[in-house]
Amino acid sequence: MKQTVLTIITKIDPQRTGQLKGILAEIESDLCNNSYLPFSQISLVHFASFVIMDQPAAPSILVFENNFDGDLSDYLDQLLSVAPDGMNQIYQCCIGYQPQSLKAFLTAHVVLPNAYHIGNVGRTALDISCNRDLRVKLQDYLDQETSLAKPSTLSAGEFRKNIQGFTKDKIDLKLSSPLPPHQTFSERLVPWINLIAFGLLLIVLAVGLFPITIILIIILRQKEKSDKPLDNQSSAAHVDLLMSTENQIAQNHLASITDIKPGKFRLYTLKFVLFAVNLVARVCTHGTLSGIPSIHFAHWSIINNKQLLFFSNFDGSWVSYLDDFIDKAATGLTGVWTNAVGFPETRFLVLDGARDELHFKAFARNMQVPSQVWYSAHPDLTVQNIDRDSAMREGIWTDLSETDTKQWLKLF
Amino acid sequence: MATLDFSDIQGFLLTSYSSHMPCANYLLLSIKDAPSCRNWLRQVSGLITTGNDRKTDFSLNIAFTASAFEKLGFTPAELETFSVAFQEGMNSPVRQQLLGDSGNNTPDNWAWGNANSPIDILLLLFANGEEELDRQLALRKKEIEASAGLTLIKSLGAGRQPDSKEHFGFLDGVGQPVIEGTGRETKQLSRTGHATVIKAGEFILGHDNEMLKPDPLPAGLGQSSFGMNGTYLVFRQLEQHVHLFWQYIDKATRNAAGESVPAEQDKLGAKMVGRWKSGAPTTNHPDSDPKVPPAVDQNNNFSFAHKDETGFGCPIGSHIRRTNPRDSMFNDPEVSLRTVRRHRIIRRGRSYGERSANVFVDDGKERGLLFICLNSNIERQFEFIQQSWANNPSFGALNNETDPVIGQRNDGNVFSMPGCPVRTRVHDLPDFVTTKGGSYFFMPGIKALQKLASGL
Repeated sequence: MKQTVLTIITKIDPQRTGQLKGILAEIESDLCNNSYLPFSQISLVHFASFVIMDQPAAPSILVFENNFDGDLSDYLDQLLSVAPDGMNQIYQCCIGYQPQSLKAFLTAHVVLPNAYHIGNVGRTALDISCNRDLRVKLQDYLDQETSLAKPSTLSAGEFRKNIQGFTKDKIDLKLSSPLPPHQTFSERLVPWINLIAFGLLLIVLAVGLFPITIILIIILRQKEKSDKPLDNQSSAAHVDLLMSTENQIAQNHLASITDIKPGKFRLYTLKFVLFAVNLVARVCTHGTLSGIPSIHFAHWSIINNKQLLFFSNFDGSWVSYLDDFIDKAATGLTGVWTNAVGFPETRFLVLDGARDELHFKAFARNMQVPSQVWYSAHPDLTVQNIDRDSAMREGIWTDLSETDTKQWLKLF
Repeated sequence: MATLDFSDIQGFLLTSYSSHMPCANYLLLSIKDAPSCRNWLRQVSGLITTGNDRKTDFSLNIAFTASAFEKLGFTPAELETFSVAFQEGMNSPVRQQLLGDSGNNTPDNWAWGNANSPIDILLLLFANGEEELDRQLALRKKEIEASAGLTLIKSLGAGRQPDSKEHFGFLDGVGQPVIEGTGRETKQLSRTGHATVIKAGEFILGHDNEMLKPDPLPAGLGQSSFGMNGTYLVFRQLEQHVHLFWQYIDKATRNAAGESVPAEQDKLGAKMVGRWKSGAPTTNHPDSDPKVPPAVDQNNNFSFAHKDETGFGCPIGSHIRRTNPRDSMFNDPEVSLRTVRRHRIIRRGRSYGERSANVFVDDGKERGLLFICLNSNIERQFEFIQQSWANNPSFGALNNETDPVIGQRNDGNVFSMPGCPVRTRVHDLPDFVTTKGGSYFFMPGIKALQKLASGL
């Protein structure tokens, strides 16, 4: 089943900001069982957040980030059947809200991402939690079969047979039945065709319209030379506020908003880069985005042609995430964020920029906004844990050679 | 390549002094009165061992906390140029959570470095024998007593065990990065069969780090380059529960008849550490401690990616693989090595307390490690290793494991040892180590120290 990534963005009624913050604080204090929006009952959701973002000379906005299984309509139906009153009370605090048709209101305010990445493609939230439960049961079984006091004398093949026997006799089919492939053949093929076609088109245009390419590069360089990177450190109080909610579970959340540099040139450059990033992300289906193995869901959206939103649900600490970005994806992310105000000095769209570690980290902290509510359906699982659990289950009933059997047993 | 001014660098940054000076004592001081403290600083600053000195009898080095700089007249704007971790202090709530100092490790229980017992100055004394150490200690204490500016909070005696083994019984301090520009590569190569040369800026401020940029240079007393040739010094007093460690191992390795099996005990301990007691890496010696040491010490000449990817020799979750994953991360040895270079520290730890007569018995005496490490960026180096590697329950796609030796414990932590046909796990690891004190210090260069002593 495919996953959907989007936000619902509404303007907050300034009179009701306090009321809204109260509701969100209550949700955050008990994510699973609060009376407004008990997330544990939303079986389709992987990660979700509510973030209030202040706007210059305009009402603040409420950004509801959603990363879920299936289509929007089914997801909204589940949300509204589990939490009709709570959703009503949240959106009563927003401008233009009409209680008769909450679903239509939410749908009308959907913002689709310009680019997104999914770490564990094709695995539903329900699959992921079943795979986890299966792994725990099989690990316990293995502990009984072999320990330091009682080392096993079985061969790999015999072990596998025993595991299969145990699974068949003792484990609910819901946890152990075969899983569908992560993606269908066409789901895998089409993104590659798109990417290759785009690449070819780009080469043809760049060469065919060579003078224009040169002019664009000259304009870009002039702009880059006159851009003013932010020079101050991020304030310790702001960072402490963000850090006070971090590192509670396996993942962390990053919600951010930045102003796009003024002028059409930067806006279209950004749209173009995000379009390209999205094409690349569609073929990155093995859990890594440009070699980064720790992102569950991330997306960029341009709003009002003025600002860039970025949301990420990633494994481990903020520092390790940013270091991963710098070490492995500096080119791509410089290409994106160099179009935002305050980004470290960049050359030719993708050079330098994020490689200036300290300025880049200060920029990233400065653009980050605290998340009022953030929910993870898999609080103890990294992208790699999820992959491993899935591979364990996928391997139970498939035909495996002796070598494959040994590899499969290494997953335990 | 960086050209280093050794006369401006404190000697402790370049050497542990352990071969010539096995005895050490660390004095923790607080400042009562700034002018008198400056007088005292003038007295001792001339005695501080620099990188040029080749002393073999006695060495003295010094470091300061953020509160010391505040008392000595740094402006708020200057203090803000220091690392945020250093400004906040190790016992602040954010750092506490990030380092895993909760439960038994909470700063409330610390003997020093918490709100009850804040520290301003760390004075490190090293000597070639107990006699010389006592003599120097008496001199320094006399100067401190004579000064109206200082209070002696604690005197922490430390000394290398005669065979360089820490209290659990394992050879310590094998892997150590070589600072570029110090010319110590050959020495490290002959000592351990391997040397990783790391950019000077990772350890000495004012020089380029591995990203070819300098880490922020702190300012002080009106000088924007106050931090030049200084470094951050992380100090943690870690109590080691030797009997708990070996009792746990004994229980986990008893045979079906319930008898202890010494060879299996050694093996489980080695798997948890990633080295045998002799220091031999389990990657190269998966099954037993090599009886005959090789002609040239090869204890650090190994990597994981090709030889030990699955961890049959050195388990993924073992102590040395977590704290220095070498080429084993991201399924890409090159990227892994590049990443790891940015998260190295120079370790300067020494044991304290008597060695256990019988490691299985609780003799009621406190012993452990006076852990000291040096780095230019506390967040990227020391804290990163602690948080993202040692205490990370999902490190290397594991489930619910933390560092089996030094890790902070969560409910039902396990440790798994990959094997054929399947892995073996041990369960419910208790705390083998408890944090008893700690502070973040700044160890200034010699010129900066003179500036501190002379005042504004």
